[in-house]
Amino acid sequence: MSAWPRLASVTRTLLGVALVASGAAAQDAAQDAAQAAAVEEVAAQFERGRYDLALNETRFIASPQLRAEWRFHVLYNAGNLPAALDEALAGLEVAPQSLDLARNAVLCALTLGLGRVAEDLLARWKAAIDSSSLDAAARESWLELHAEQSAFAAQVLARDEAASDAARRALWICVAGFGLAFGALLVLSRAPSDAPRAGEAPVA
Amino acid sequence: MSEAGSRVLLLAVAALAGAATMTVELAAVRLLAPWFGSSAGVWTNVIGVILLALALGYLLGSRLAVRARPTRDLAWLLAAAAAWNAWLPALARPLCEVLLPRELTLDQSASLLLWGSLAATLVLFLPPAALLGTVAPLCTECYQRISRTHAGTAGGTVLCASTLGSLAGAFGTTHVFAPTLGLSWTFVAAALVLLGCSAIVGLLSQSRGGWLVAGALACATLPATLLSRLERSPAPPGVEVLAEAESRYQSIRVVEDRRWGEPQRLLQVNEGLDSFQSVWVAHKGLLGPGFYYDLFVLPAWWARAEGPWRVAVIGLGAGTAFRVLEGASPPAAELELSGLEIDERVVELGFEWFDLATERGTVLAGVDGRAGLRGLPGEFDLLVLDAYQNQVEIPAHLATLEAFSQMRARLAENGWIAVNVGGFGFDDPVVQAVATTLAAAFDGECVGYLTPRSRNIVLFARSGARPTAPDGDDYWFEGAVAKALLPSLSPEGCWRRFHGAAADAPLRDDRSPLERLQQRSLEGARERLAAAR
Repeated sequence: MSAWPRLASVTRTLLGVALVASGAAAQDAAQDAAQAAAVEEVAAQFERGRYDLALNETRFIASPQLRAEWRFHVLYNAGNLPAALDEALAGLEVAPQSLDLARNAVLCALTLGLGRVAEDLLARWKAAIDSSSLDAAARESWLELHAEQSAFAAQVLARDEAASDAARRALWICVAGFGLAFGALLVLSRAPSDAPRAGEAPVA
Repeated sequence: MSEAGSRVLLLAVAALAGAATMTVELAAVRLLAPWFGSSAGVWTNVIGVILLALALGYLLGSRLAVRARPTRDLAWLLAAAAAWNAWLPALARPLCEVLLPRELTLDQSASLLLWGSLAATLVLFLPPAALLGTVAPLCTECYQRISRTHAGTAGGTVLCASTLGSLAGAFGTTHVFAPTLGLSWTFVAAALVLLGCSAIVGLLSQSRGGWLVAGALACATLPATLLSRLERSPAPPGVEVLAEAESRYQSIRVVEDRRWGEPQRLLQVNEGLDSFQSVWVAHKGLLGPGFYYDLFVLPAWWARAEGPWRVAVIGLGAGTAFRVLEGASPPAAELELSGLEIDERVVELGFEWFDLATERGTVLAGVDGRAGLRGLPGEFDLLVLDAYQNQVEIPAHLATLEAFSQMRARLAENGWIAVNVGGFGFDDPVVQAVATTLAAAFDGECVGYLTPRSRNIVLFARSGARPTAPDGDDYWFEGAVAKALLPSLSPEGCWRRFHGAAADAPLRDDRSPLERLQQRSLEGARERLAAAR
């Protein structure tokens, strides 16, 4: 291959890249505008108290993270905590670095008493804080919040543990109680019976 | 003592021991109820363990009957049963708190309610019931020896006396002793009766050894009259116990919770967990997120009610629904409120602590919801079914196709029914069963709304019209009530339409597996939530 066509190819490529870049920038700007409009609409419907429409409008938010954050916000305010937690978890799948989503998921899981789920989420939240580019004050504030929720999670887990221990205790007491009772029945039923009373006629 | 006199005394002992056995059995459920509730599962555990104990006691009695002095054995066995009975109220709390730790939520406690109650029953009630089981064979033996009659004659006579005593014990415990004496004194009274029986048999026995053992056990029993009391879990800081009562059905207490700002009074029934039956705050009207009572005002708004608006609440409790309706119904609606509550003590406490008032309406206390509905005159624009028993269970006979049809017959044209169902989401087996049954009774459709931040779902159906749903034109209305309630209920996933056709087998009077579904609901709650993650 001669140098020319190679140059021509490079030029075409550069031109193509430039065109794509300018097209992509325009497309990005259009997408950003559409997303901003969608978010604005969701927020407006939410403010009006039309949570149904707000939730519906979240479909038009292109960013999965932003969509999940808004869906969480609507469902959390509607009081549907299991659904809100599902949204936060779905958002974390696509945006594991989102501190807001991680915090929201932890709060929801703890409110629902899901200690193990909260424990896992706390670890993900901590990793997100550590890998973030926050300034020192903001990081400190997030770490404080994390510590608070960790303490709460420890309480929930302790309750879970207490429930498991109690279940084990109950099971063992039942096994022992029934074992003793049926053992006693067996022993008593096999004990030698007395001789028939003297002078009594046989039954048949 | 004459032969006839001895025979009468033996029969009296058999009868009193039979009465004590029934007292133990019936009061056992109530003793456990503050921790484990009094569901069919708990009842089954108690009855099963008592039957096992009696079998053991009968066999033990049959072995002891062949000994030389059966009256002596009977005396000390009765005294031992008395001692155990007397200390039961004091033993209940420490044991139950080991088996069901405090501060667990309902779903955390799901499996513990059954296994824990079985374990507690085995430890607390198997020994005294087994001791009481020895009484019949030993009395029979003594009776036969005294009267020199046939074994069948002696056995039949003793069993007749014992069964009549059981009958008296059953009625007496439920209708007289537990409500008037309270549980602790019921157990102590049964113990004193058994101690008296022991003394009578000791007299018949005239045995020094028997007297010594029985006397020692009496010494162990008598302090219980002063010390053995059932103690419920103490209220946490910021919560004050205002009143406690034993009714024919349950243990009740009224607490005032001042931990979260505005004081709330809660009526707790047999509760060891995180639920309550009625709530009071100083103002009338909506209670806020987490309280399903608020949703009961919606039909009047949706119907744009003007003039008389007649409401009947089945399962009135201490009257929370009345106060919410009075404070948040449309101003043009003239409320006529009627209520049915099976437990009179709950209504009395409602008048005393919950500002329950009946200026325009009727409250029927002491009647079952379904039977009592016949006693309320006229038709209703809204029927509220908010009946719960044993902490988490809707009474099965109030949630059948026949019951809903009967309720529908009492509704005015286009009248509403609102049913409060506890469950973990719309796919919960109890919610599914009740909702599809309700839909089947109401033209094939009902709508369920998830109460915000709560595990309650309120189902709405209408007589002769479709119930309102967020996808309909009549859902939205104006005002403070609308602002407070409608947004939260409207998003997808916060409400669901149920269809009667989906009910493969609606709950029927003849066949209603509601209790099994409720157990499955509890057991599945945690697994379902965890699996969804």
